Amino acid sequence: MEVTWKNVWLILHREVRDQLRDRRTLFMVLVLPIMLYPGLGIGMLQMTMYFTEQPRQVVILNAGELPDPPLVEEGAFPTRWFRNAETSSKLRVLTDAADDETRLPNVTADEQKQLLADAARIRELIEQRNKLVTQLAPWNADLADELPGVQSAKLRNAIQSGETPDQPENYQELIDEYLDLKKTIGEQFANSKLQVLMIVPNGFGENLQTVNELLANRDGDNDELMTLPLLRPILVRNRADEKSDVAYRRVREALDKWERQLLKDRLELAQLPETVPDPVSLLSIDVANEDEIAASMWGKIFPALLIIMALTGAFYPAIDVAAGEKERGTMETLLICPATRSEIVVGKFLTVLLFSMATTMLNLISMGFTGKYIVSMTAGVAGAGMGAVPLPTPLALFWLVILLIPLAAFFSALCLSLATFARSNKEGQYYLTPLFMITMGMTMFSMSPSIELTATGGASLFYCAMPIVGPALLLKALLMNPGNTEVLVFALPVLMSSIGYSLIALWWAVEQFKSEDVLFREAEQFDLKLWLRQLLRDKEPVPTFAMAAGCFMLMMFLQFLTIKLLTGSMVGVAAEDVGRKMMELAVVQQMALIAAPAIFMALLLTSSARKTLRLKLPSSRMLAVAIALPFVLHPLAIELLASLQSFFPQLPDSAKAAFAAMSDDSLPLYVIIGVFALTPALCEEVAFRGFILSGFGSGGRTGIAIILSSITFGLIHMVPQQVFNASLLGMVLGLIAVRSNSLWPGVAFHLCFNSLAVFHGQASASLTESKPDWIDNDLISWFVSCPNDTLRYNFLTLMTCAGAAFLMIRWLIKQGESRKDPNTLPRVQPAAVALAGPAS
Amino acid sequence: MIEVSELTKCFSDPKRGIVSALGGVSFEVKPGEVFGLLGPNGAGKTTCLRILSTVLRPTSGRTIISGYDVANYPEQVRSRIGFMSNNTGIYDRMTAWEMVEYFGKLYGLTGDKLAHRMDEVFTMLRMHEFKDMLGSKMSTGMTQKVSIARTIVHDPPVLIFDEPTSGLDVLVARNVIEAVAQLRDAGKSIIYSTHIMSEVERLCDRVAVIHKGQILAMGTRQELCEQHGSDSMEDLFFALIDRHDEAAVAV
Repeated sequence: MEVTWKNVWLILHREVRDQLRDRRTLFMVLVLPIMLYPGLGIGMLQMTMYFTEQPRQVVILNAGELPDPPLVEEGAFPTRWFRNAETSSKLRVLTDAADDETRLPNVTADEQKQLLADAARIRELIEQRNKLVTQLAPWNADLADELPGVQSAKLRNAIQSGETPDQPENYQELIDEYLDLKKTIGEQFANSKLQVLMIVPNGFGENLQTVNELLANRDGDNDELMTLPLLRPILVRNRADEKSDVAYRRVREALDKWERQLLKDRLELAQLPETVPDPVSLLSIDVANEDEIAASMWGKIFPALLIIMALTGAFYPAIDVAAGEKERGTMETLLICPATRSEIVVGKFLTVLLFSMATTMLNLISMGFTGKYIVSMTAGVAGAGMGAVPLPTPLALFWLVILLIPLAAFFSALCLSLATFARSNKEGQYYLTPLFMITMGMTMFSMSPSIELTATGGASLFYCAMPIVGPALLLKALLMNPGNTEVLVFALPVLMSSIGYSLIALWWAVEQFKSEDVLFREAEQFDLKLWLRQLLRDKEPVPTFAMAAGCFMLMMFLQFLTIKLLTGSMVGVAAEDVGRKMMELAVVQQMALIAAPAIFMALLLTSSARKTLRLKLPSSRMLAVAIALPFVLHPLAIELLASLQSFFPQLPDSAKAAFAAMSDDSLPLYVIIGVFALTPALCEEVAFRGFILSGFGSGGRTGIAIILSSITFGLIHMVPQQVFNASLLGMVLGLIAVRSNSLWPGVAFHLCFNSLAVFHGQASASLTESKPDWIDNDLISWFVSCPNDTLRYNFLTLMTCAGAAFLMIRWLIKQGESRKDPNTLPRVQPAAVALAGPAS
Repeated sequence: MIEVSELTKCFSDPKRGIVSALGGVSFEVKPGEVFGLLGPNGAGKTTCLRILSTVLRPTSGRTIISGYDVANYPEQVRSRIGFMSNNTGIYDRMTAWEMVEYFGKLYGLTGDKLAHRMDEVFTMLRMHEFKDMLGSKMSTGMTQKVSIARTIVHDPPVLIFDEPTSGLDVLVARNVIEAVAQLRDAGKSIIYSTHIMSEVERLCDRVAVIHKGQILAMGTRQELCEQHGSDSMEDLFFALIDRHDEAAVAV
């Protein structure tokens, strides 16, 4: 990929000018962010200014029984019963007190009468209901809760211990009656214009007064005080109706404060301290200062905003510079100029990157200032707390900009590839939704409070390696605590992986630009029947790149589908059978989900399954190397994984169980080898070194084919440790397959390697049981030792193995320098469909 | 200056499977000569010219332009040809001047040399009056002139025109043909593909009749007419194509 920066600069300059002359882009990039947020802010301000909430209707029956201080004055709860005085005006109270001449505003006398009549009818129903509740309470814990304290506790205990009295004969009828009544009350309440109904029992005020006096004059004998019946006012509301629910909460606020006042009076009368009801009287102190509150708020909001905006900011310009160029018929004009495809792509990529970053920055700046302005304006109205949110610190903003670069680069390259693939602007737009959904999913994942980068957290490096998630987490950590230098150790891996992903995406875009199929695809009707027929008719000896990718997708999809099935079949298996059952499933999984799709696709989609799956016999030298290599790679792999252990998340339980089954001595060795070594060796080799490697290599790119096949081979293993391990081994296996052009050396390698892992597990297990003396010998400990119940390889073993492995792998690499993999020779280039059209 | 030998191109089509768009085409074009490619729609003209312009890769065969193999040195070839077809549009959001200047710079012209050459081309094609007009506002004639200016701004020794007059009114078409004639007189090697007989008769020194990916006949107008016993290019053309199709049916 040679690139002359003069041409890149020319193309960049032209594209930027082109974008700036496009009204749509300008609107998206400049006008929208600058106008949108202030506009939204003004809208919201106006809403809060002009929108006044309708007062909700509260009716209090028997209000004359309420003791002083007055709960209701002039058709409302007095403002002193609320924290925020305004709340009072949001409730309209109607009482039936004899001396209440209050006329509620905006309500006619008839309506007022109607409200009281409705309330009275509901009261009757409620009274019937309460009678039923008392009857049914001995058998029903929920209903028992409604009774006064002592009684309720007694009934509850009886129900819990099963000592309930015999149910009456008409128990079921009573239950039905209760349910009917409940329904009727609900309907009546919904049909009335009431939001909350309060029913004060007869003699409530007197009862309260009596208790107060008894308390005040108490001596040693408190029998009368303890046995005095408790009278409870009732509040009726409908929780399913939001209006009623909100009104209820406001009424509760007033009632609670009013009750507090009554309690205070009572204690004063009884000459008791005010603190009697609060023996603990907790004081909680919030030590967060304003900076931190702001930081935590920005830390939650900004990474998500940054990601979404970097994506949208990249998407529209990308569509315009790639798909738009095709649609406007200037693609070929550009392709015939001396600039190379790489220069064109890099120039366009930089344009998209520039716009993505500009959009994001403008959005954030506009949003930040609008937010701060609005908040400071409404501070007086909405109360304290929000008014004092400062903007992020300069250091946090610096990191915001630095991390925006890799994020925007990744999205720009990805969008450019998709846009190049698209035939038209319209087709390009269709790709936005899935891209957006995936990005949103990853953003949500990184915003979860339990997912974070910590110096000690094992999974942190793993997160760093994920696209989108890595930068998002780093940004979250830095915004939450800008002075935190500990997380800066992750800056390098995050930047490296992001740059890596951007380069892959960019490479893909260049490939798209080199593909005749993609550049000259013309809008034609997609016909499934024709496509299938073509797939089955025009077979080549080896599969295409797309077929290999499809095969891998199919495997992943099948795995996903069967997760539930497989875990489901493990439920209820007796403990001693778990190992055996798991092995059965492992074999079925290997054959049905990995080998079967590859073999099936090879037979159906290629003209030579034998060539695709590399079924010919290898040379004996290759076979010998493939058998020898695992023995030297095994100790290296064990030690590498052990030293990297802290970087990976904990093994899931299922994986631990599988490892335990490897050293299960209740099963014969040949079964364990068969399950954990032979089956994967055959099935995985057929799939990954057979179909997938041949497919990925069909364009003539052996190196990339090996890398891709080993990454897919890793991914199918799911568990991060194994993904890493398998990806590395996949490289060696891929190299062996390409150099020998046969499946069998790979199978032999795989069989030996997995068998060694089984033996290693068993050796560790038996060493733990009875440690022989020789293991502690000084000489031996240069080679192996056994700390923490596992057999570990030491310096001399590792050095020997590394040397031997190096020699063998070098031999393998040299083997093919003169000769290319016959499965990856370039084939007849399928060219533009457009050429068949009437253009020529 | 242009040597094409045994050029083939296959592609896969959903309906017909692997299709051969070009089946072994060979010809050569010398400086100061207009070589006509005459053929109906779908004959393979555009495919052939796209390979010459390095946009498509040939399945087999060799093409040498100004001493460079098209398959191995695409960048060198691209900087030595001017290519114009229906598919090489101009940018909507650029003025005529900017468009030509942009490509001039991509072809490596700079400073005074570029300014001088731009002025020369704009004068030759009489484009000065609309040099600051945006592409989206231009008439078809104007866009065609900008395309020609873009094609010749770097003064390439080889020029390829693929149906440059299709869709143009007579006056504009006449301008285009005059421009091509001028370029021939300046010593360029020119390939001119068309299906319009009068243009062939006016412009082309030698002609190849191409049909279904194969050259049916090649030579000067006179040679062809004599060989096949026809009076005009038109009769000759239809006779050749009919004969080829009959033969294909017979096989």
